[in-house]
Amino acid sequence: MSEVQAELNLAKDLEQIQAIAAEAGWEVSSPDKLVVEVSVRSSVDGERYWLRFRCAGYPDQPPSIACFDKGAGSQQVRSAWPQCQGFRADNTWDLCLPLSVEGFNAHPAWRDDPKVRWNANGNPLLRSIEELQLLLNDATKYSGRLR
Amino acid sequence: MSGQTGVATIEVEVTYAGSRKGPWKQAYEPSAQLSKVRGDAMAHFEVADSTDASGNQIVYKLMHGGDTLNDLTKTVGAESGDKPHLELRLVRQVIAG
Repeated sequence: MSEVQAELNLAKDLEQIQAIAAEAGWEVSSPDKLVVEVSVRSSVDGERYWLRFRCAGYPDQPPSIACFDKGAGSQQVRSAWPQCQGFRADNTWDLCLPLSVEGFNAHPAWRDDPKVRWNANGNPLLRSIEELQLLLNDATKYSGRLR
Repeated sequence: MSGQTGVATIEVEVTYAGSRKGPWKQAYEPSAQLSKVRGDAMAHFEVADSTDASGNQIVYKLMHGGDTLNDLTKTVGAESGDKPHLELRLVRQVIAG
């Protein structure tokens, strides 16, 4: 897929995300054509986290996803990360989930598992944001901000 | 009493971002439980709770705004807050590696 096609695909899905962002409590920005930044608030403790999605090959390829510090612009800030299943701060600064390219690279078997393989149907970026929101709302999997 | 509202039916709209299908709509009595909505929406979008190859349970949940609806015995009327329209989202509970 060409980069231009990926940009067009992402722009279309981003419109839908921006349309529901206020109701969902998200802040959404797109500082580059293939980059989307979203802040999501955990309903467990009200903490808000910024997530950066790098969407090369969208929607056929899963995005690279990381938390980042909005002020510093850096993902290598511990306090920008939640203590949550699948979120790997410190060494790798990435998400090991069947939503991110890093997760699928760490678990190649996920690519062939029909239950968790990457689903490019519908609006994959919106689906990913929603699944991360659900994870951060789950007190059995999320236990606050890293310090 | 939970579920009593001033409207006879509530139009519930559910979206699922993992499907090519557009929003699904159905009218429910205010006393209908969210478990019924979840089941009907999952049937429409052709998804099911399951277990992955590692034995992890994959469950679909309903969300309203930024909140997860964990109490599925709650009624549609109580969730809509007396309004005739309720917009929900069906979301897969992702499993960490």
